[in-house]
Amino acid sequence: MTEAIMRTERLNKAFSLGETIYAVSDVSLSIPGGRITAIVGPSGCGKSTLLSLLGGLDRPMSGDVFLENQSYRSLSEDGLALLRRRKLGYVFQFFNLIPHLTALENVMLPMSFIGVKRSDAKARATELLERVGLGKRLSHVPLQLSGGEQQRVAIARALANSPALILADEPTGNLDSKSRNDVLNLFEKFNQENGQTFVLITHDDSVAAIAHKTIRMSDGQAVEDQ
Amino acid sequence: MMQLTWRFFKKSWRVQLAITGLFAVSVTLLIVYGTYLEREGRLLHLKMLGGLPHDLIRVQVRAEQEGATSLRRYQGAGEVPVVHVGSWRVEVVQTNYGNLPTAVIAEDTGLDLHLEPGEVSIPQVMSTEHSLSVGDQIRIKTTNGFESLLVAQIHDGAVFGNRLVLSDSSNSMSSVFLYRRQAGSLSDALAYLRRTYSVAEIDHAGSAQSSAQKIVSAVYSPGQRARFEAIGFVTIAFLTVTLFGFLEKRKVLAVVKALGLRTRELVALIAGEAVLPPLFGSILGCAMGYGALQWLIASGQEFTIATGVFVVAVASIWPAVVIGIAIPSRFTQVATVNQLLFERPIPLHTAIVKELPRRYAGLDVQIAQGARFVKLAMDQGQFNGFVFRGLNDYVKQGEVLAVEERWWGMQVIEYHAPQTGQITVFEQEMGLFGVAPEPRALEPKYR
Repeated sequence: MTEAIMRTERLNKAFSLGETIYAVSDVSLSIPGGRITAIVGPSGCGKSTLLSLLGGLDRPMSGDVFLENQSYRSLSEDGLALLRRRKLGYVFQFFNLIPHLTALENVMLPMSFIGVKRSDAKARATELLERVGLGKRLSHVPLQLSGGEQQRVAIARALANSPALILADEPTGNLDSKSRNDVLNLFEKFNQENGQTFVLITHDDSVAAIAHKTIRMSDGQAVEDQ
Repeated sequence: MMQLTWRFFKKSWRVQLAITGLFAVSVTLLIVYGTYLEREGRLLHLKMLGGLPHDLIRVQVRAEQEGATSLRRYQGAGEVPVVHVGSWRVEVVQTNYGNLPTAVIAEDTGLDLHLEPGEVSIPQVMSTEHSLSVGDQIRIKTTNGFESLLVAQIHDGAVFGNRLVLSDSSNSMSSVFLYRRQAGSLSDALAYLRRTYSVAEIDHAGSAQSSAQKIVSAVYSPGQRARFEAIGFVTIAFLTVTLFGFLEKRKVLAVVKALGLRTRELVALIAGEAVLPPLFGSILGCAMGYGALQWLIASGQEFTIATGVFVVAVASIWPAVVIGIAIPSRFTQVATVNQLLFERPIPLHTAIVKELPRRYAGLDVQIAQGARFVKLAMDQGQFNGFVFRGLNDYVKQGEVLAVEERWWGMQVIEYHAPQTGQITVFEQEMGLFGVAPEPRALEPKYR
């Protein structure tokens, strides 16, 4: 059995939007290292909220997340930032590229945070963008790219620092079928070549099909499948 | 990072230009005002140094009472509390050293200043400035043309200020009197003189302090208020700009934070953009202030350009920069990525409740048996927050049982389990949690 790279302990997150919504309710789960895990479920079931908690982008109201046995609750915002910098890659549902920077600069940005030389960062960013099929779009700013292209830049950015764990929120939601297959192949390739762990949020069963493990969510609660 | 800062800066160059102008104008005004205050301070210092000897009262009669050369009858009990020492009047006399203010004293005026006709006493300042000493001559213009006078004395300016002093044998135009105080109290003498010369200016040794106070009130207080208002305006304006900039860049800050940027790097990102306009503005303001002072000096103002005034002007404006950077930086520091990204309220204060606020007699027995309690803040039987644990749940010490958000999410109250154990009491209407010690609570709960 593969050892868990990440686990959660009774995670809770609620919102008050006129009525109380328990977006994530008492979720305890584990993410196996070196595998692709899919979190699936209908819209509004708390998948994205859960992924935000796993990525340390939000704080749970109660409970805790452990990445390689490091408790998030014990970390300050700076500690969490360092953790994200070194060990996590995150692909946002709505890309969230920096609008002032080109595709190349967006991918180089995380590398500049860990002190990679500019020339090395440029070479790696170029290579990643070529691998996601954007070799000819290096100097385009996000506004000059389609939704699918922006998504692929976001994926390249998440892979830039070779993190141990990549969290992707609907990574193929804005892609056509060919691009979707390319991206999924890319995830599988990085997973097989580098042993990187992927956690994918999706409501698409064909995306979930590449996963080694599936976690189904419903009304904020999680059930693990194999 | 530098690239990102520069892109931010370029994108909002119009705002940055306005901020530069605001700082430049503020620094210029503060420099001119500081120089004005510095000059007033010097004058105040001179005024305080020029106090009268302790036994003199000086009455400067105004125009409407000129000619009143004799004392009226004393209305109080006992003797008249003042004696006449001498009379003098003030004129401007044309001399070979320019037009000089001059005190013309009556021949019988005391004060160890005995001048014969044809003699003059000059102030110490004039002696120093023109290298004049006793025995030298100065020329003054009279109705008969220029006349030479012998410098017979040099006085210190305490009684007559920096005026020439001449003796007038005619004693015809004296309008200012000097009185030596007798054994009676100063207040009696002052009361008497104020009754006699209702519109005169009356000075005595103690009045230098009140003169200084008047100058402070007249010059410094409104000026300081204006300075504080100006600095307050700059602070609010700059803070508004930086906060709007923060709101505009909120998503970008969220993304770079998600990518792993730490607080100090985020602060550098915010400060890098925010600090340039005040920096340029301060430099420009110093140059403009220097130019303005040069122009005022050329216009006849007795200003002296002092480096300290420039330093103070710039230093007094920079707290605005610190505040303008610190507040958005604090928001960025405490906010989670999602709070920035989805524009959710940023909790600025988190309080933890892990014990009862007071003793509840009904719980004494259970507490004696080892149970620990925590109570939620209830509003008419309702808890305005989120409850995550219930009866019979196992909890660890410090585990969050419930969370309440107040002040539109800016304050968060977390209710923590007071000890490791099992929840044996959960009274919903009272909002009471009771946790009894239970070793099984330490077993792992994740799957």
